[in-house]
Amino acid sequence: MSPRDTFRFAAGALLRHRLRSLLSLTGVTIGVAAVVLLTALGEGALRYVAGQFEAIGSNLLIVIPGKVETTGGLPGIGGAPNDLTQADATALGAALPTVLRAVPVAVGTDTVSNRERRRQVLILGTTEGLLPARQLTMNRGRFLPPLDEGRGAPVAVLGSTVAQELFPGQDPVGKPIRVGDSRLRVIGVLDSKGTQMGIAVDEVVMVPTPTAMALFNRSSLFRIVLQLAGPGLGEVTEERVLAIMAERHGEEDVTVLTQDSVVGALSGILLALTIALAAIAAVSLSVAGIGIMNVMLVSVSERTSEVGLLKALGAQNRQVLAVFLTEAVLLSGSGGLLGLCLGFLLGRGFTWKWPDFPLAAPPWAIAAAFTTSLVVGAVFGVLPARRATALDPIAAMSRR
Amino acid sequence: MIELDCISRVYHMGGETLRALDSVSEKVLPGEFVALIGPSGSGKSTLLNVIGCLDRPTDGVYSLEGHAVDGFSDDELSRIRRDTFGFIFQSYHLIPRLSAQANVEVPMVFAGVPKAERARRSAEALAAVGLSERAKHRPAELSGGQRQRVAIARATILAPRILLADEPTGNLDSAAGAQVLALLDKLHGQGLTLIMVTHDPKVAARAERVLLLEDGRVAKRLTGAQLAAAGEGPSGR
Ligand SMILES: Nc1ncnc2c1ncn2[C@@H]1O[C@H](COP(=O)(O)OP(=O)(O)OP(=O)(O)O)[C@@H](O)[C@H]1O
Ligand SMILES: [Mg+2]
Repeated sequence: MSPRDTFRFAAGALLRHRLRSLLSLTGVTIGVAAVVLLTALGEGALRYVAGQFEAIGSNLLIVIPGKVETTGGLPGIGGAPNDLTQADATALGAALPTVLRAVPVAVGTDTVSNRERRRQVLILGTTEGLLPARQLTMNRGRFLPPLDEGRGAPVAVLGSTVAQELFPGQDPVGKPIRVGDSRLRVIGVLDSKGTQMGIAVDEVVMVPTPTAMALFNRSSLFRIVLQLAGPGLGEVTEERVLAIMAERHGEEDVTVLTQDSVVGALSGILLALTIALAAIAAVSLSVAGIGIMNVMLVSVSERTSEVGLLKALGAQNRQVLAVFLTEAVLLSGSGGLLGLCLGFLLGRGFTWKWPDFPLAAPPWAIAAAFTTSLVVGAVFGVLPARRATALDPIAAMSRR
Repeated sequence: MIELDCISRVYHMGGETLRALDSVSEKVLPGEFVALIGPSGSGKSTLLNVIGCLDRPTDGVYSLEGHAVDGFSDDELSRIRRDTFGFIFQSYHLIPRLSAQANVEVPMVFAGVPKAERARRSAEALAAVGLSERAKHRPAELSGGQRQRVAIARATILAPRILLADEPTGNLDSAAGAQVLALLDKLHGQGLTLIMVTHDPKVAARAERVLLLEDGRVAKRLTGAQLAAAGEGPSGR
């Protein structure tokens, strides 16, 4: 029996049982597409998170209030640390030659409005230094004034989205806005920059640090961002920062985050995400596998009498098995290919809709999805057929 | 030559044992036409299946052309069925998805006959059973008699030495039955050994030898002429 004849015979059977073939094809297709898409989403999320933290930049240190044990995960709200103040920021900037600038950051949310247009936004209280430290650029106007330990000027810089929503079609620079109960004057608009460190820069309003502290009635900064003078200064600076702060506060009550320490603390979460990904892929694949299995089981048991007949007409067991194997592999293989195509198409659609999300199906998942569908198809195509060929022809023929 | 020596076929069902064949000893010579008759359940089909290597005897020795069959592997049995036997089943057993011609080609597909030759030989075989016009029809689109003729074309396509027919006319009216019997007569005339199960004494009377089975045993051996002379043979149902 030539391979071509085997193929023809198998394809004939598949075409004849169109509905069944279509059903199992769909099962495999959806399973494989699900694996491709889900793992692409997961991998994208991983890259997204990693990208966010890489965006801290290797030349930044972040000082946050509160002491965190070295391996305690992310800093939380533990104990009652001393306030982190603007004076601390100024002192760090002045005392450390390895620090280019020390930028205080305060955070809160409030409603901003331009007459009847209003919107809830994240408000960052900060100074001049944030612009270069974060590699932000101005679209128009100017950024906030330098470190200001006084009352704080009543000025604001808008993220690009906020600017568009409050001042559609207008230049906001020079115009007044309200933040909570205060009136501020817009002095600049940032370039669009997407999301950094979990903060959507386009959707914030930035004000001078004292202004923000007054708005939110806070005494402590959210953090101090230190921009280093060059690479490789992280560790020395971290030690000096801790020493200076211990001296100023009478105890070591701050935590210094570097890119490494943040990514390190997050690696547990990333690992969990990766495992969840693998689990999702495995579940989708087994669903697809069970689909193929059912179809092949039904197909073979319905056709046990055909197996008997073929044997009665002189077909050898391995010829019959080759036919069923070909059928199964044709089904699961084409289902797998279709699934890959569908997955990629859906991915394309997703990327078109959300271009910022780094969607990426990992090669291992693509390979695993396709091979698993093939292997499961082959195994469950051949196993039940083997049972049928093990029968004497007359016993198989009389099965219904 | 077919030699059966004390062949039994026992079915175990729950606690009961059923002797479908009980120590049957018989010889069938090349070129003979043997009819198997007997009441329903007497073991006619079982005997035919054992002879055709579709079933294995529980006891006894079956030798085919001098070789004991029970020593053969599954694949060797398949080869014997392919090279030695042609089967005609009462219920046709055609593959529904295949055309008449494709059904006739199935044994050749598994025997590795090239495509062009398969087409030529199957067309010839269909012509020989008078079905050239119906070559592209599926079994469901054929009458019972036509289906049985397709089955005969399939059974003879690899030029077997022995033709086994289990009530080939059982589902047919007398006209269609006569056509089928005429074909079988012709094949026997060409030298094929023919073993046929039948309920119809008139059909059995065409045979050279008639074996009457009862309860799994050969109860009587007659010649076709003796059966015809008896006017009415013993018949089941
Ligand atoms: N697979 C089986 N399992 C159990 N018993 C069986 C099986 N096949 C046949 N038998 C029994 O063996 C006996 C002989 O069966 P067989 O089919 O040979 O009869 P038969 O002479 O061909 O009858 P009929 O004329 O009705 O076709 C019957 O009693 C039947 O019930
Ligand atoms: Mg019978």
